[in-house]
Amino acid sequence: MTALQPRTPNVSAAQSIPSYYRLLLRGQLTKGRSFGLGILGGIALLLAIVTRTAVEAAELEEASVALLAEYAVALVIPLSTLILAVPMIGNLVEDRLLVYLWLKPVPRWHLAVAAYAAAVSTLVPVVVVPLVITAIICGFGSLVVPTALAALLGVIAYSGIYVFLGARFSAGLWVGLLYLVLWENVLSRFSNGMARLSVRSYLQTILQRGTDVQIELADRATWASFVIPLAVAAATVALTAVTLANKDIE
Amino acid sequence: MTDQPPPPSGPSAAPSDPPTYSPTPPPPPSDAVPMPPPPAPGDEPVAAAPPPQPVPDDALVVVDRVSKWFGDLVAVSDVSFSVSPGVTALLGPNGAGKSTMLRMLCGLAVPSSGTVSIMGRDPRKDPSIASEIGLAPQQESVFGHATALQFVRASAELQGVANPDAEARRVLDLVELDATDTRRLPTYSKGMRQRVKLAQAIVHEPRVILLDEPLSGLDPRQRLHMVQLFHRLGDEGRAVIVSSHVLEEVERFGSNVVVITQGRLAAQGDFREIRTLMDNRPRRLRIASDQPRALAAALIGQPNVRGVTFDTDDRVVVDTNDIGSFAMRIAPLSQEAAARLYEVEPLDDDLESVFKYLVGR
Repeated sequence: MTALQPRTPNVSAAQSIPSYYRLLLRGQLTKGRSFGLGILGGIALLLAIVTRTAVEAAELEEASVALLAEYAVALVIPLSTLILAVPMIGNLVEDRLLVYLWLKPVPRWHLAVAAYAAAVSTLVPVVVVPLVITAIICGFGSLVVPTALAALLGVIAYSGIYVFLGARFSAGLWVGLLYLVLWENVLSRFSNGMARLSVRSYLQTILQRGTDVQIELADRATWASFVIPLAVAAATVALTAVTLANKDIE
Repeated sequence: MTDQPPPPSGPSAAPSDPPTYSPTPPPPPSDAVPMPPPPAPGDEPVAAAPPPQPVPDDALVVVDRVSKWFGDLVAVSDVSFSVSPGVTALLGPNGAGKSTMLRMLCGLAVPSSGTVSIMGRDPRKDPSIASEIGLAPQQESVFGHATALQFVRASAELQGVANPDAEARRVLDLVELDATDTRRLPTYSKGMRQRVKLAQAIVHEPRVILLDEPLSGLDPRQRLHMVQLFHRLGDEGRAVIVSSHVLEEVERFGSNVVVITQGRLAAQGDFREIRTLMDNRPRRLRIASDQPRALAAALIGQPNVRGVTFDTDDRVVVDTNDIGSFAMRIAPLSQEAAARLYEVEPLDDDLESVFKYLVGR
């Protein structure tokens, strides 16, 4: 057996994560996806304008909360994140490009963190900003900060979930869509206990704090509404790293 | 590296070693060998392994009784070999298990049983060994947004190369590509993409270089240049493993060859000896004649004829163990039998038949 010893690689997280990040960001933000995200944000803005101009003043707050809770939090945030976060690693698997990023002398969590960071940093300007503008258009100053926080925490939590699903399943987009429709929007409405396991209920709780209008199932503790989305993100990024470590790479 | 697994059952790829051949019977014809049920991890493999051979002191790659199956489909079955510095060809027909083997060598796939070690480390469990592995995969897909320089530089950065930009430019020059080319990779020809893949595989100067069909899509001049580059890398003390399904191509890579077919190790050792064996193997010919029975009678009893049968069209099918002397004898023999020859057609001249013969020995 050879007496040659392998070199000790000298790649820190501070080196590898930005490299991964740049490669992933440039590769995934395609025109089609940007257009899809723009449409979702644009619809939110349009609905805000319609709400502001067409709804009676006495019902405006209730209508605005409904728009933000049912369209923005329940649809725009998770759907936008689904569109952009699932392909972050999923497309690399599908296109058989993951090999170029995987076969490097760095721990797998570097790639998982970079993919997650690329998803979040792309989604903040295309999701959080339009939804904050939507809240401003609605005309209730007390909704602006809760909307910004809910949108930000939503992007943080859902990005982790969808990057993981993209890495784990070859049909990650469909699995993500099933999760969104069945779990977040159907099963979580059955009971308060099941709602605790949906990201949406925590985001709606944050939104609830800025208004007197009641939102269904939005009665989580304030601290939990901040901690749980962050914990979901951390757990799913870890799961992505484990998946990358155990997966056969094409 | 004293903590190595027991010596693998395959021989080394050192040029001085004689070729050895697995004694397994010919498997059924298919891309991979269906052998249900697959052996469970730890079980004895289905096929008999070649006799144990010592691992040479300078081996950089050691494959020890490795199998890989996907459900009921066995892609690689009980393969053992080791690779020392220099160019080694991994030869086998399409679907033989070469790519699966290369993927296991660099840790991309986990062996279902057996072990792979690169410089004494498990490439799957120890990501740090990736700094000593360079892989140019077979797939043509490339990052659509990147230029050649961006792609190779990113690879250098992720390998911790001290000056990624300068090194990326150096290896692009080495593979005869223009580092200042601003075109995106998808606009490149197949041959150019092959060279970009090679550049990213060697930018960090690994000691084990795995190249999956790297000459595919290259023109003859580029092929020559690449083969020279492989030899140069091998001469620098690196183990360069080049997979190919083209026998003539492998001949130019050098003397070390590992032949895999239908997931099994068919032969390993010096290419010239294996080539001689391939050329001297028993052959089957089909002969069309106006007097097939008379011709068959004349053929029976010839020292170089092993068997004579008829096909459904009443043509003579001859098995010979010496194609050279048979070719010289067939014309006078048919004359003696008063039979007119219409056609003499080899039935097993394809590469697949050659590999099957090696496996069946």
